[in-house]
Amino acid sequence: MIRRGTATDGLGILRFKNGFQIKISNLFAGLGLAMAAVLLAVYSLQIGLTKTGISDFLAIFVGAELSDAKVYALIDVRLPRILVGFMVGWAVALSGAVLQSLARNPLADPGLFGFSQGSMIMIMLLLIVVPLAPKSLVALAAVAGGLCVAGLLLWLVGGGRSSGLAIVLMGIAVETVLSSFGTLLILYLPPETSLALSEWLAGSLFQANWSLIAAFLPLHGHLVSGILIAGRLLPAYDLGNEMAMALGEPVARSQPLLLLFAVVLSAAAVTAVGPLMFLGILAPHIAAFLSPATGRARLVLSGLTGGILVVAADTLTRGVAVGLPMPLGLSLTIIGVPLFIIALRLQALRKFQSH
Amino acid sequence: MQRRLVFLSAMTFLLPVVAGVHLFLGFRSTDLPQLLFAFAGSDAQSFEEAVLLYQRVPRTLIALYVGGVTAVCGFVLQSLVRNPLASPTTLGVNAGAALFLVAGVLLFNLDTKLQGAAALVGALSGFLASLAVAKAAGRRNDPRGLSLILSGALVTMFFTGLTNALLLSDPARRSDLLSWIVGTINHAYADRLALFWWVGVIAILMLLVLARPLTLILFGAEKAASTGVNVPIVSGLAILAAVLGAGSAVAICGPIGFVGLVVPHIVRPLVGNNLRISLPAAFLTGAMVCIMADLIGREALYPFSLSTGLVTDLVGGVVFILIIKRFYLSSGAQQGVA
Amino acid sequence: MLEVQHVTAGYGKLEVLSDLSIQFRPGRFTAIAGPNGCGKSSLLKAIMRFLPLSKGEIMLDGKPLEKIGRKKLARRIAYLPQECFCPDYMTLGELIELAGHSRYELVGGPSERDRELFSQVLKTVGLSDRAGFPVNKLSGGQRQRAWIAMVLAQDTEIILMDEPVNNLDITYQFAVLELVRDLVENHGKTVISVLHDLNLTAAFADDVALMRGGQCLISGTVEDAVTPENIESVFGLKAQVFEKEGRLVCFPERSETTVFC
Repeated sequence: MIRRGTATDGLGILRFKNGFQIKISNLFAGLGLAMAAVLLAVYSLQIGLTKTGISDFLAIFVGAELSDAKVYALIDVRLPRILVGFMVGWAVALSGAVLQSLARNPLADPGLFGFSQGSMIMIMLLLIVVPLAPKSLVALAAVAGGLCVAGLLLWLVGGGRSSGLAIVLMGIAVETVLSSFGTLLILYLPPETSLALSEWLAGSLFQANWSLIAAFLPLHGHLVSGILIAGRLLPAYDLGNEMAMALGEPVARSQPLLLLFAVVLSAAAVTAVGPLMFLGILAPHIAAFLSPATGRARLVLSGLTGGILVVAADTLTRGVAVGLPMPLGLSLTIIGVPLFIIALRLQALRKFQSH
Repeated sequence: MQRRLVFLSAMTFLLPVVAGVHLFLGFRSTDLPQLLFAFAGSDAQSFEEAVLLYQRVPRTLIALYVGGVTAVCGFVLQSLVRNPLASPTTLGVNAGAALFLVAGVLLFNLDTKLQGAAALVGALSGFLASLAVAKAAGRRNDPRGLSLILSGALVTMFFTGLTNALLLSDPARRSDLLSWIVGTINHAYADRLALFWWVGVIAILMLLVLARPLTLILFGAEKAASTGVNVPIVSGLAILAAVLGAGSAVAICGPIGFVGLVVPHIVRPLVGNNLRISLPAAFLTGAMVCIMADLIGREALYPFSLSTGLVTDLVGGVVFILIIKRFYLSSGAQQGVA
Repeated sequence: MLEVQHVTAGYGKLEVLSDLSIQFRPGRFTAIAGPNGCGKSSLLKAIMRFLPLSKGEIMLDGKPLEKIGRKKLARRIAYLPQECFCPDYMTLGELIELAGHSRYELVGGPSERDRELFSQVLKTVGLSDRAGFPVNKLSGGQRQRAWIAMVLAQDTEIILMDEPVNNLDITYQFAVLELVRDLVENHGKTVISVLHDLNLTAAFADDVALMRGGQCLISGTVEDAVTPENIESVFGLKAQVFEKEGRLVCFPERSETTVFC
């Protein structure tokens, strides 16, 4: 059923009967990250005003009686928050990894490119027109907004050979315009709508609850098949569009699909917690630093790293700024910028070595 | 030569007109003659006169100061950094000033005077942080200074993030600072103008004094040095003056974005790079743009009034996009690299 | 047999190939030479269908290329562009495995046969011990051989190369071209390559196509095509051609008035 072998680059590999294969080093990295995620979740359960934690949580399953406050803190507040945080981080990190391959630009990020802001604006416009829009319509609006920005950016950047930094700057410029437009909308919306939106706009996990998770879950079902397909196609895109075509990839057909996949992922995250910046860049970079991988392994490892980053950022803000309603987007930006600069620095150093 | 003088005199003529519209728009026309006399007297005789003297006049003066000073500083920064995207907004100056001022208010309870000092220090540290990040993360193959602008954007995001976090930590005082933080030209900030106006005036005077050697530097550092200009000191002083001037504008009414980016691009094609003429031109144009932005913000959605900072951010962001498109992504620019 | 028939193509309004016709004989190494901007690279791009044709047709074994899907095309023709990019995290082994992209199932990876081919290819280019290295950490010469290995690993009968020896020092230039020669002679490949250097062309290629202004002026075997008259008509340069140890050597003359046009 499963055989051990070596890949072309001499590393150990597991081959399944149906042809699926996975590098042993990547498997270990993935398991390690999953373990880290679980440990982090356990730690995160302890953090908060109510004194409770994993032991109480396990006790619930044994059937022990707990005070209402503890059950509420664990089941209704902290656990959903951790789960939503992880899912959101996973989605944004995947979106970033896909975008980086598509744009062949290691600095691509759905937040920095303005996709998330685009989704956000579209949701706000929808809520102005239809204040009680159902969740599915909101999600659709988010995808549409992301796609609009993606189209706008493609049109602005023009096909082909622009410098990577110029594209990033263009993304930031679009993002700036959209976010000031968003602020404008917030200021002139009816107060009750604008209050909820402004928290959302900064990216917050406060509204995490089980219904949100239920809404998110089917998407993750599709994600698995998305990773399977995208993970096989993306390495070809990493070599550039022409090389991908030369290798037999029908780029004209698969590229729009991959872009849609990235936008849907980012839109899903926006619908849940609002725009998050830098995560889409940081997670793949950190994952590649932990265990270099291509294809599906890269996607999965990036996703796990993204989830961990979000939960860690959330835990950190809850631990450091007790009682302070610090939105997730904010703490991610504050943590993200220095890490991003370090990533840039490492990249510059690597360029220096290789030439 | 001809065009420069035409532009300069047109601006000198238009600025008072726009300022006049800004001052008097909305009053009944029958009241106007009497209102003009209000300037002569020291106290307001009627409600209209009070509005004019205590709201409109300070507001016009603030817009004049902020727009003019920021535009001049932006022009000098763009020229010295040799980057079409350089400006107080894009190089972290505004974000630094805002962060230090907010931190000063919330953490150390600084009074208004010291807030200004904090903003100046913040402006300088924002600029220096951008330079440092660009140096640390820059690529060697970056002839057109893109990494400096990217660093500026990163520093701005980081500082803005910290500012927002600080504001969130103190909801009570957050609302006091909220309209300041998005950049609002408001008569309430008149006392700040009264406290800090001299910073900008000194900065502009200094830049005007340095205009001749600076222009020489723009045409080539070696050439300037050979005519006896001390290049490091002159450019250092000019950048210091520009950054502090921009910082003082932030200290008054919060970060009014992108005026410093956009105005030089309007002025330069018309007036050229001779700073002795283009600095006054930038001042007049910047002042006019800012007064108009405030006018639009005040009247466009009446009875609501928009923050001037938001208006300039929106317009300026679009211009930012166009500049990147023109200087970095057009086919001409491509060939420039290849 | 690959045939280009009266092809006109360009980027927007700029026409780079105008009514170009040429036949590439199977099992031979054809070099394409010509002055800068004469459309050499564009010809390869047209064959790869990166460049849409406004007139004419390109036939592979009597079938128009447009009728062949990307996937099938990738199994017949491999392409090595002038500049290649590889992300920092990709190792040489992973790059080689990508060559089989068109053969893998959605879930599957390389087959037994593929894997043998890959290690054979790495041995051919002399990089077996570098398989675990990130491509961007290899030296310049190694990197060029890595990309050639990838093209070989695609396992096609026709290989297109766009200046494969650019930026290599003379040792590697010879090593790479010896390798290409070996592919043609011993593995039955058809190689079509843009080569700048007429001496290298004369030393290694079987056939040569001389291009100018988007057209193929002269094509034929090296012996027939590389003559002083042809060099002058294509490059506008007076040159002598000698034969030395069974191979042609071009010797451009210096002229008093060099004309740039």
